[in-house]
Amino acid sequence: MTTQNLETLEKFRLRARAWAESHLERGKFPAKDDWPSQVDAQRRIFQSGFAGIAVPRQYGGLGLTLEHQRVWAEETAPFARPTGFMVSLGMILPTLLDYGTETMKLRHIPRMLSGQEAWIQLLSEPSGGSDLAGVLTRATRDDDGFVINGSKMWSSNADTADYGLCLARVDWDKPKHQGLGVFAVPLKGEGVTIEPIPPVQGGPAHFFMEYFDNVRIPAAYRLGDEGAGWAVAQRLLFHERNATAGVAYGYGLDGGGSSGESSWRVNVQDIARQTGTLDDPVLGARVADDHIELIVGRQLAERINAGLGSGQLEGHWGSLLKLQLGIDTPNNAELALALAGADGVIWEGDDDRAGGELGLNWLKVRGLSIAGGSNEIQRNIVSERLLGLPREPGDDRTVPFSELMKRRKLD
Amino acid sequence: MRFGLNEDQVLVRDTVRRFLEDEAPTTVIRALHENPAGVESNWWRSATALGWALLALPEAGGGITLSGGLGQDLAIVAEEFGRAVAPGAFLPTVLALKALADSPYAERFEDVISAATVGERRLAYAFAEPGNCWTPRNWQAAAVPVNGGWRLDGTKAYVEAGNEADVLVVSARAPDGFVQLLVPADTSGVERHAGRSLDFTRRFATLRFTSVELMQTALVTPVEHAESAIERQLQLALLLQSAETNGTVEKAFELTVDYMKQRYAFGRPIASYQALKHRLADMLVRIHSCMATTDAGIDAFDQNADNAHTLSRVAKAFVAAKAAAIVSDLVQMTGGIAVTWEHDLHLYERRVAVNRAVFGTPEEHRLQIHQALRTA
Repeated sequence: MTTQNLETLEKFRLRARAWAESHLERGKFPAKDDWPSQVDAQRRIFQSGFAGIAVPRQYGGLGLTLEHQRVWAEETAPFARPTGFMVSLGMILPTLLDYGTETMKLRHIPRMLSGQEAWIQLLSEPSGGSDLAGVLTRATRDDDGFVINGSKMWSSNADTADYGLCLARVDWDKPKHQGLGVFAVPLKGEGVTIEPIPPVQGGPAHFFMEYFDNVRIPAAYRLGDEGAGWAVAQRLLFHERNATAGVAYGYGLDGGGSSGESSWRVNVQDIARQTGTLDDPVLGARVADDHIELIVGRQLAERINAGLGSGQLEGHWGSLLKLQLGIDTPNNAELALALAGADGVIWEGDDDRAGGELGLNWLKVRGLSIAGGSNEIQRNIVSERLLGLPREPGDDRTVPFSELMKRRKLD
Repeated sequence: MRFGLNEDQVLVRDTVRRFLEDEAPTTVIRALHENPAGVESNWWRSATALGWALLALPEAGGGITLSGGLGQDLAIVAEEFGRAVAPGAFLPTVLALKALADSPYAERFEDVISAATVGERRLAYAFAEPGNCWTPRNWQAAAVPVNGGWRLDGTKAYVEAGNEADVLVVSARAPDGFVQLLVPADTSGVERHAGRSLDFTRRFATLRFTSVELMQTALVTPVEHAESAIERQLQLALLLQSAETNGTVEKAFELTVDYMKQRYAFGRPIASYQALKHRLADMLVRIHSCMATTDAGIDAFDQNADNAHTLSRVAKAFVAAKAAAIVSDLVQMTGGIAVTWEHDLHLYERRVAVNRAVFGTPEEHRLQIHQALRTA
């Protein structure tokens, strides 16, 4: 199909607007609790021909462009969108498009688009997260496929997921980055145990641990060629950063960065008014600074989105937005504590979560600056990929991984 | 710099950049440090001949537009002046031209406008008053209608190029509000006290007006227009100054990053140390944030949007504070050589520090934002 045959953005916009007005509810889904409703919403979006806007037609998509998806995101912003599919549609799906076998793409992408299947990432492990290439989960060759053994953690939504993209080590005698593979692992089958990780603020778990005990995978469920695992993982992380920044395939999936405003941000102006601290010259100045940071954060997201949209920016600019959020949001959480004083952390009654919302928010906010690549990892990406600065030297990229493992034991 | 410049805008940017690289390298800037005026008249004429001053005028008044947005077009030039830490009174010229062009009596000023746009006559924009007074309601200088004309008394301070200008656009208190008057610098009763600044080429003067008698035709902005006209000029000042600062910071950042790639310590480029490159990553977030908030403010200005008032203050409060912190940290990372006269980084620090103060510090603008939140 040539680009001349594509529906114009303006025509698509009108069509999306009309459909959203009559088919979607205003507001937002109440997070995870409403998973069946989100599945239903995704199914209806698919049936009405609005799922997979930039996905090729042979995989069940519309064959349009990411610009069309941005338009969709703009038109549906006031409505409840099934953002529980952010990982599936914003991160996994584009990775499958880049590296999946034809077998996988034809079978699974339509199911992802219709809400029949939810996919997650299986990357971090109990032994490490930032040094992702150091994973210890094993993928052992077996006849016509692979057998997975090991454990993963910090996986979001594993309780409702059907498949995960799992980074595992195939060859222990190759250097760290070269002996890896990425595999699509079924999570509802034999040999998989999933346990919740209780979060610091108490309440329901959003992250999980998975244990894999001799899980068999067909050869067609490896993404990319032999030895390409690290490149596939990098691509997955690239899509993750875009999705969490709310750009590219993440348009409309409510990644924090799409508006430049973290959903974890507290409205400190309200707190300052309620507590009378807005009139304090020192605290009031901090509230004004927070207000300025909020406005500028949104403007930065608009700028970067515009640059990516027009093609003048390419590559890892989602990291810049994630870093901005990772710096700003913890500052905001701390200011809320400063304004609320004792009432932010002490309350009447014996419910340990009834009050202290600000205190609980402060406890959990570091999750934002750690998950999905910590601030420090984003700083590496920004400085190395966007500014072209050299890496810290080390031999971990050149010596066999089995050699690195021996050093670990000596420490 | 915003993304998505049109072809004309790119042409103007490249032309101005090439001119300033050729005609105002830092060796020239350093030489101008010794020059009492901070700029050569011939240089200013050839710089103005590039035509950028026409961007400050409406097309109906002989001006040029590249994008339909006056602020957007001028910001491109401001950023280039910032990158070059260029000499010459860019901002006062633009602000004075804007005041003259927006005057209901603009046709009276055709001669001075056209002479200024080719650098033949130099304009200054007298706005602030002594004691860091950038707020019109606190001004003391007053113009009183007398005998079918005006009499002007008072002191204006921090007037860029005030001692070198041929013509002054002076804002003053008037009965029932404010006015702006066109005052030829050689008018009787005008006393000019030349001054220097931290910046190598920017000269600021204090102007004393003692019973300065002016004709009725000196009136640029009448009382009924003054409040909104002065507010628009102030918005433009804050935003173009921010754009200039962004250019200065961007250039200083580029120079320092290049240096850090080449400078070796402990056997490797210092740019490879996370202790340093993580700070550069944070700076890149800030630099793009500065550009984003400046461009958003300029768009609001060009659309004459309700939030242009707020966004211009947000831009100044954010950009000026971050810029000074960034350039200062670039010095830290460059090391001792950057605290010497010979190294160029202080030229950028000097420009950023002066821009930080002129038209109000970021702290003053943050206080205004704080007051607005209190009354919201």
